Amino acid sequence: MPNPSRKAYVDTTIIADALLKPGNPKSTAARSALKRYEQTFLPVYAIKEWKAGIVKNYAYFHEKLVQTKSLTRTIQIINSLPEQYWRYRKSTSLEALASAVHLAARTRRRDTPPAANEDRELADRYRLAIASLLIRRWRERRSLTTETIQDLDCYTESPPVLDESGVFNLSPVDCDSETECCLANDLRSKPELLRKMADAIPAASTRREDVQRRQVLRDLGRSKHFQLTPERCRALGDAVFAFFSPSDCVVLTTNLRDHLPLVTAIGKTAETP
Amino acid sequence: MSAPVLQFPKRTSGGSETALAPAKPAAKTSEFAGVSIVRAEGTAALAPIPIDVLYPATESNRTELIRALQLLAEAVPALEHARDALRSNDLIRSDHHVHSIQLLLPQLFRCRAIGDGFAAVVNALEIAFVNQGGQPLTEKQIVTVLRTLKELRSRPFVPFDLAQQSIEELEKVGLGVDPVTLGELFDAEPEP
Repeated sequence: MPNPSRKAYVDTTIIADALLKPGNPKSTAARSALKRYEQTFLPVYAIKEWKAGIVKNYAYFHEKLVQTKSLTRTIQIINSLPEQYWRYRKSTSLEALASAVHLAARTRRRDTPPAANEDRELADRYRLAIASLLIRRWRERRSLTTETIQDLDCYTESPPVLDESGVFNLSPVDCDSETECCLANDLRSKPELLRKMADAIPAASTRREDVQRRQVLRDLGRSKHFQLTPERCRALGDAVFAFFSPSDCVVLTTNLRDHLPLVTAIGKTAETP
Repeated sequence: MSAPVLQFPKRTSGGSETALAPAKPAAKTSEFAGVSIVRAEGTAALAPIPIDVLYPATESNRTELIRALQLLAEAVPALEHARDALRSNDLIRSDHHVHSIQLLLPQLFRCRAIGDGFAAVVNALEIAFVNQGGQPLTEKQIVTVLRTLKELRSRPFVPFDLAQQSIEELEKVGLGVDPVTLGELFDAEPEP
């Protein structure tokens, strides 16, 4: 039963879980969590991060299926990617992948590799399933929450489009680099909040995203001439949610570890599904 | 002079829809892009348009199209029987008919050269059956699958984008049309 006094400001992890993890309990949890609130707000910044993150990775997987016409080969390519390029699970077996799309695959012996025509058929099945999922979930994105707010003047929210070669064209993924980030002036107007958030990031952390976020927050708070480029805007990440979350909202996220110090530092709250 | 008449298939009992019936002797028949155009005097003459002319099949997918239409012609009545059986409270007979559809789906997927829209719908249906895990379909689900297959039979060259509407319809009645493994594949490993 939703609590009418509660409002949630939804971060990227929630839409990623709710929309693009079919069959995963995290999807059910994210969708259920959204129903706990009377009002849920999705900032366009979350859509931008979502597209540049999990949507882009789905599109990459899809592109490999188009190129190789082989599920086996696609999995090999993904498994050979360094950790920083592919943070997703690499442990799903080909057998499990086959069984999820094809009833007859369940009768094949576990130790038998798929025949070439079956491998191609599986690649086609996943190619079609991924393309379908991306198109349907893109359409759903703005109806997942009760409202979508805070449009970004410097970002064009274009849908993923299948081009003539059958692969997804996601452009633009980033903001327009010709103009400064439309959030810059609002952020600069409250340097004390930027400083508090920078201080809240654990000083000992050497994680790349922590180091970059802390640096951009400090620089933006210190100098009115510091340009908020698309790369720096992306580095702010979770700090954008903490900063722009309306004061009567909780930030709804699965990543409490990163969000909680930031929101607490500026007198706001965060919750998980 | 009367206007040209584009002629539609004539059904003959036991015959194929693609069989050509001879044009009426009184009519003047000409060909344009493989289509018989008959200039009829008085009553409209009937000469069938072959199914692969009616649909824009190419050399590469004509065989698949004919095979797919045959399979769909089997699937639709089977689902109608499933729906009717459920309406008569015979769940077991209904499920038996639904199972016969499941066996046709892999064969339909092999006709995917018809187009990605067609293939996406057939794929979604097969994944939905995998995700059902043997659970019988409800009447609402049967009716939706039936509608989807009928649409596919009348528009096998459905564009991929438009095909998503049919897949969304299947989702709305509680059928899981996405492979559950995607939720597993794209689940981030915990950060150190």
